[in-house]
Parts: sequence; C-alpha cells; structure tokens
Amino acid sequence: MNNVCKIFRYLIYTLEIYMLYSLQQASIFSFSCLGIAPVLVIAGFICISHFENEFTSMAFGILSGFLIDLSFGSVLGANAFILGIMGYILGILFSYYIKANFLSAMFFSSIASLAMTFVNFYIHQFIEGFLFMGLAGESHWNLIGMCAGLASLPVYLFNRSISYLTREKRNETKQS
Amino acid sequence: MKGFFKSTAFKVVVIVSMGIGIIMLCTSFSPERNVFAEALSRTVLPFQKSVQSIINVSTDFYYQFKRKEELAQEIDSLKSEISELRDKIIDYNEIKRENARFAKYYDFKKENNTLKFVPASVVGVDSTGYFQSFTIDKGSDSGISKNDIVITENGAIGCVCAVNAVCSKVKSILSPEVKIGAADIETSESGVISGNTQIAQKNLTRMTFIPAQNSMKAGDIIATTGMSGMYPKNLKIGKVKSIEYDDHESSHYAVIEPFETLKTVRDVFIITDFQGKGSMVIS
Repeated sequence: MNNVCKIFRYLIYTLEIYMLYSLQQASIFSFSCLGIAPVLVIAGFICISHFENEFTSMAFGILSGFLIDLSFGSVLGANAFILGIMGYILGILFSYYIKANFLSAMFFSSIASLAMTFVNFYIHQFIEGFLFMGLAGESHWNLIGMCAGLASLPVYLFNRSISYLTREKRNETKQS
Repeated sequence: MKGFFKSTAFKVVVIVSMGIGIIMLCTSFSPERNVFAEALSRTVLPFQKSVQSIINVSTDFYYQFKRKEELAQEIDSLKSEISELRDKIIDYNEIKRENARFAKYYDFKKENNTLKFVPASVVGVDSTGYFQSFTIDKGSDSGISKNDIVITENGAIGCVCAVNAVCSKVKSILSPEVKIGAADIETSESGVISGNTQIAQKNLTRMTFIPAQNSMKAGDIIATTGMSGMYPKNLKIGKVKSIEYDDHESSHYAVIEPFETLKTVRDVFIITDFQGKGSMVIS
C-alpha cells in the first residue's frame, strides 16, 4: 500500500511538472514584468523537495532541468545537472534542518531562480561569449526572485495537499 | 565526511552525474539528431497540445463576449458619429444654398449697385393659399418698411404689406391688392401688375391698363418701370402668356406668367433703398 501511494504520488508530481512546463510555454501565460517571467518548473521542483527525500528531489530536479534545457535550447543536461545537485541539497535540508512552509517555498524558489539565472549568465557570458537570459537579470534581479516566489505559492499548497493525502499517517504507523 | 564518500547517496549522485554528463556529450557531438531531446519532447508534447487547446477554447470564448462589448461600443460611437455627420450635412446644405443664393444676388447687386438688400427667409405662408402670400423673418429692425418690393433671383414677386419689428408680411404679385407699375421691355407699353382670383391658382397674374392698340405678344418680358418712385426700375417680373379682353372693365389685359414659382419660394431679398426712391418720374 505504501509503495502504491508512493508511485501514485510520484506520478502526480510528474504530471504536475509536465503541466507547469506546458503552462509556461503556453502563449496566454506569458506573464512578464519588465521582460521577466517566472520559470514555473523551478517553483514546482522546489515545492516537491519540501515533502520528499533527497533522491526524489534530485530526480525531479533533473526532470525539471531537462525540460528547461528543452525550452531554452541550451545543451541538454546543463540545467538538469545544476537542478539535480540543487534538489539533492534541498532534499537533505528539508528532511532534517528546515521546516517546510509556504514562506520557505517562496524563499527557496526565489533563490533557485536567481541561482539558475546567474549560473546560465556565467556559462553563456564567460564560456560561450554571449548573453543568454542574464541580460534582463542584470537589471532586474529582484523581479526574477519575486516572480518565482509568488508563482510557488499555489504550487506549494497543491503539493502539500497531495503529500498529506497520499502519505500514511504517523499515528497509524506507530500503532501498527 | 569519509562516511559520506562511502555512502550509497554519494554513489547515486556520482552515477547520476555521469549519466547526465554522457547525455550532454552526446548532445554536443550530434546536435542535429538528439535522441534524448526527441524522447523528452514526445512525452511532453501531448500535455502541451492539450493545455494549448484548452487555452485556445477559453480565449475564443472570452473574446467572443469581449468582442460583443467592443462591437456594441463601436456601434454606439458610430451612431453618434452618424448623427453628427447628418447635422453637418444639414448645415452644409444650408450654407451651400445660402452661398448659391448670395452668389446670384452678388451678380445682381453688381449690376444694380445702387440697390440695398436685406435677405430673408419665408417662415410662414398664407393659410388661405389663394395668392401665395407669406411671412418672412425680418422686420423693421432690419430696415424693412411697408411697400418695399420683394424679389428673388428670378425677379420681383411681391411687396411688403405689414411690418413688425422682427417679421413682415408679404403679398405676392398674384394678389389683387398689389399694384406694381410695369412695362413690356420690347414694346415699352406699360400697365399695372395686379392679381386675379381666377388665375392666381395657376401661378398667373395680370397686367391691366394696357393700351387697346398694343403690340405686345406672348413671350415678351415684363419689368418694373420705376416711375412711381416706390420700386426700382427694370426689375423683371414675368413674361406675357396671352392678351385677353375683360368684358366687365371693357379693356385689354395681359396674362403674365411670373418667372418665379411662388409656391416654392424659400429665400427672398427685400429692397429697402435704391437710387431715386420716393421721386416720381413724370414723362
């Protein structure tokens, strides 16, 4: 039963990441402020990390990274590697050190978006010699973080409800 | 720390990193045919299509209503614009008509520069309708006085019989009460223009007191003589239609057809002053 719930939960997360990616790519959802639009898959992956262990977080980080590589046209695997590492670290943090709530979801979504922007800016500016998406980030760092943070709130609430519904309760486990 | 490097977690991280590195290398070496990207695209594509189709249906539905509101607003604005344009057309036609009227009278005034005109418009007609008498919208405030002659671009049509401050009553040449000295400009035979109830409905008047031995004929032009000093001379009135004999008065008269159709008169000019006004000519 535990495995079935886990598989069902992972399936929901996968569909969620795909749906966020589709929404991100859809024309009507191109909300942007001064050229900045949130990357929804990052918010989704961060919120999943709140409720899963480090390996699951890393797996969904890699999936999110692959999708970002697909949409941005960069080398497949670059963002997957970065988000995978990030997912592993966040999984450990949320499992043992940080209490998961919507504030942490907003905070870490903002940090993750800024980190991704900086890394991509560094890679493309200094390694490949041209600006990628960092040009907007140079002048609107605060907006990048704010957009990602705000986008994570509904995703966090959804993931929290999924996690609570599909996870077996501690009282029942102790009694058994 | 050593335990971490020997732990399962580290091994998993290393294996995953190597896997991702292999994918990156494969992508770099063959960017045209990327198997991993194709596989990932195939899994994502159904989701993208379904989401986009839902969005398209929703936006079409939304824009249907929004477009209705926009169309309704556009219709209202177009209606008000049409109304404004219609008012402008009316004003334009009015100005055009007035301009045409003034153009004709400008030529007339150039030829008769001693005449003083007051333009006026017909605001009411005689209720009996027999002699086409009418009321105009100018009065003594504009310099009009009783017995001033009234003309159009086609000729004299009557004279002022009653004056108020802001309006005046005009009796036409079809009325028996109007008497204007006139003459045939070809034969110089003179008479008096005075209407008749029998022929007034046909837009005809009479020229009475013509000589019995006259050489007037149909088609001759009749104009004012100006001998009485009340009206200027050479104002055309009409043309001779026929010469008749009146048994009651035992005299000949000419049936005159005015140049102006009095039923359709809308704008007139009243001659308030001219050279020789008040001075009778004795030949």
